[in-house]
Amino acid sequence: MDLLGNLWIGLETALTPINLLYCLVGVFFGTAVGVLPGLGPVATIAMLLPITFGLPPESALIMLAGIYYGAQYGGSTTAILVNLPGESSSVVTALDGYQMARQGKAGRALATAAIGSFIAGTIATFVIIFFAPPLASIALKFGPAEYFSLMVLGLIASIVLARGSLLHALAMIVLGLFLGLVGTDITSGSERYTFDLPKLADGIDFVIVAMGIFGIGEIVANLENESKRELLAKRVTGLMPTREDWRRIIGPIFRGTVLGSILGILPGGGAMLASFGAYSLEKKVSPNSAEFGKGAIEGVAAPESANNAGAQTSFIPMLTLGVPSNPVMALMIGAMIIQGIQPGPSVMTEQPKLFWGLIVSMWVGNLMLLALNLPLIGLWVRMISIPYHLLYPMIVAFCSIGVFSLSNSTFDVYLMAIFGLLGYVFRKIDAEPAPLLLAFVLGPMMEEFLRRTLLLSRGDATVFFTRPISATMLAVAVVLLLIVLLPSIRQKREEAFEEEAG
Amino acid sequence: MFRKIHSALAAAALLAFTGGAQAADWKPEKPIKLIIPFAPGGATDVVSRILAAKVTETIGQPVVVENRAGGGGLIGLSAVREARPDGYTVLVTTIGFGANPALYRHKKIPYDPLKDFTLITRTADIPTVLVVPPSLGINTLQEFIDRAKANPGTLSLGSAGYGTVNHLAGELFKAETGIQTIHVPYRSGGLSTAAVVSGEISGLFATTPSALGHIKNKAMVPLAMGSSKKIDALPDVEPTAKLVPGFDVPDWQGLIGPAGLPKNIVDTLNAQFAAALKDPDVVKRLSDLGAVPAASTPEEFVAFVTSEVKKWNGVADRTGMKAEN
Repeated sequence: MDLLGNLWIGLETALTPINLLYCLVGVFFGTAVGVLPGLGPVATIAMLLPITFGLPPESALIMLAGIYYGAQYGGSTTAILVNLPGESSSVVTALDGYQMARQGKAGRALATAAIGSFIAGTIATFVIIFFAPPLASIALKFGPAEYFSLMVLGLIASIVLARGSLLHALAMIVLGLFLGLVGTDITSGSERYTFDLPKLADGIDFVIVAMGIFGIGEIVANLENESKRELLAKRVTGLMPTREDWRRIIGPIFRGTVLGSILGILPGGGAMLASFGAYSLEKKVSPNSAEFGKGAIEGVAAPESANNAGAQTSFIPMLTLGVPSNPVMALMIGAMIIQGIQPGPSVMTEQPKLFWGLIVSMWVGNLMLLALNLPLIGLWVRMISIPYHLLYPMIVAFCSIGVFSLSNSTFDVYLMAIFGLLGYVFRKIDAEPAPLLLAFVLGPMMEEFLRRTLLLSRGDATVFFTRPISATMLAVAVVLLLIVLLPSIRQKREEAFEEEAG
Repeated sequence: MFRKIHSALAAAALLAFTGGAQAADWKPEKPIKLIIPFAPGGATDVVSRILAAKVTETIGQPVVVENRAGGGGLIGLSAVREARPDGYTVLVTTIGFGANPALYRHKKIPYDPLKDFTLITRTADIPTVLVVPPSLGINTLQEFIDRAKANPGTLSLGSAGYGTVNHLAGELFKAETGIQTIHVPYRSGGLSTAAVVSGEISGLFATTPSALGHIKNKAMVPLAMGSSKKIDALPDVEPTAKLVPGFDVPDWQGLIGPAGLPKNIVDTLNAQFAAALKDPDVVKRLSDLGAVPAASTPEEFVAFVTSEVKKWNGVADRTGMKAEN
């Protein structure tokens, strides 16, 4: 078997001093842009692309890849510390991570995120090594009908995410769907709810909604009772997970990794679905499900593992087929083309140094990230003990810079302020915003895939039930819906809610 | 130090090259903002960044790339239209620039390509190629047309959205051959390429760089070039123009500024970009990307955009092509 030989080529490539250096540069930049709210890996990679012109292709791709998965590590930091999810995949991390931080467990939450990400990254690297080609062919079997059914499943599963009243959750989902409609309809090219403002023609950016509702809304709410906020932040206990924590996170980490690895290879919202899905799954199976939303460590471990595993496996379709599964992978394909490499199945055979070197570097990079992030935890935790009247202007400033950097537009900053107000109102009426964000992202994709399916099938809706993968997912969705709605289970659910409320 | 000498030499070479023809050469005194109306990382962005880096060496001021994505390029275009015509704000536009008046003729479109802007130079072309999935069982352009004629409305052509080169080439193809195909728009060029590989759609006028790897791996079958010339990477693929006379839809890029840009500024920028497009290093980088330098005089560029506006209005007349609203 050539596998060992290939791995050897990979090791030889990834472990040269120069490639180690580029890997370190990549993961360092990645962590930095992940921590800074609003700055994402897409913009960073795009801006660094011209720098890679002069590098050998292996070094260039190793560095760019490092930025991408490094950002997944960094993204959880602000989500946990100040309730600021900078990327869609860290929204769910904020749910329990921030609650943990408020209870003085910020260090343990951050360490859990880093360790979970590392374990997930390690396993996902091996998944790529052993199963890349067969997994890639599955990704190609996913047509628009399959995606639509997957989204339906995801949206129904999101009801499980909700805390408090089911009515609130449904209202938030519907509001999210409405917000998602703003912009140019992909299928027909018509503009909807844009009020003839060109700035709304591409819809509202996810980062604006997430930062407004979560970050700014949180700050406004905190300013109401500043004295209380400072007291909360002072009791920081332990920087590392305790033995008890370990016992609780190990299962979620592995389940999150599996789910993330599978969803990561699917184009589109794979990584985001993965973190939402992993969270919903844990909330269902965990013996501590009542703690979810109030600082359950499982609620940090599962989504963080899932999104890092997903980030890793999203390289599979790009490396083996030359098909991008997200905008970052599209940029990586661009980087290959610039280097004179034609992306596609031949990369594996014609560029073994690049292919295997990149894969091995991912594991090396994950190790670096762990070494980089664990010592930083002490520093981050001290950040939240900065007096709030000094901290919040900094957060607002970083949010504004981040949002402005999306498309160099002040309009987006105003929009974020409006969503901040909305977030404050949601907090006051006790409505959980996570389902809104999920619906906001999934809604437009669902519509897109539904209409593309019907466009291609010339209006025949039975394709959703005649294509096996699609039919299976719809069946699972129905079962899930029944579980939520069945009287006996529903009673239990409401009991759980009451417990949570009390 | 070396770099300074290098750029001084380059500047001298440039002066020699242009022969000092522009008597009142424009000397910028502050950085020039080059707006790209698309997200970073796309072909237009990368090509423009290569050119910006080269012109920075010769013009004596940094040329700073700023991405103002959104609204199919309209946001960047509005920013430039409203900028002062002083040469410090310019923009690289693409094929949609000349086609939007036709696509949005049913509603007021916010600009007139010829009246609201000063056209400086065409910069580069990215050739296009019509590709189909192998599972379709079609190997020539004639077979594709025959199949489409025999079964109207069953074949589909993908695109990266309304007003993109894929969409426009497909509409022109429909108009010229009289076939009926379904337009299936995707969110990005990458996704539409993937849809050909998976066989979801029956064809796509793809930009060549995005398709070459798949063609080599037999994951796509090239039927014909969408642009008028054969390319070295695909020596056996004839231009569509062989069957459909005059068919030429490359993904072109060009440099424009606000209306009323003084002639000396236009001439200086034109000369600077033309020189950059002749630089061997730039030519090599562009060719690695699959882009072809296409420098022109300002007058040639005006004539070209005028013909584009006319062409796409003609297509809209024949096919009813529009972005619905």
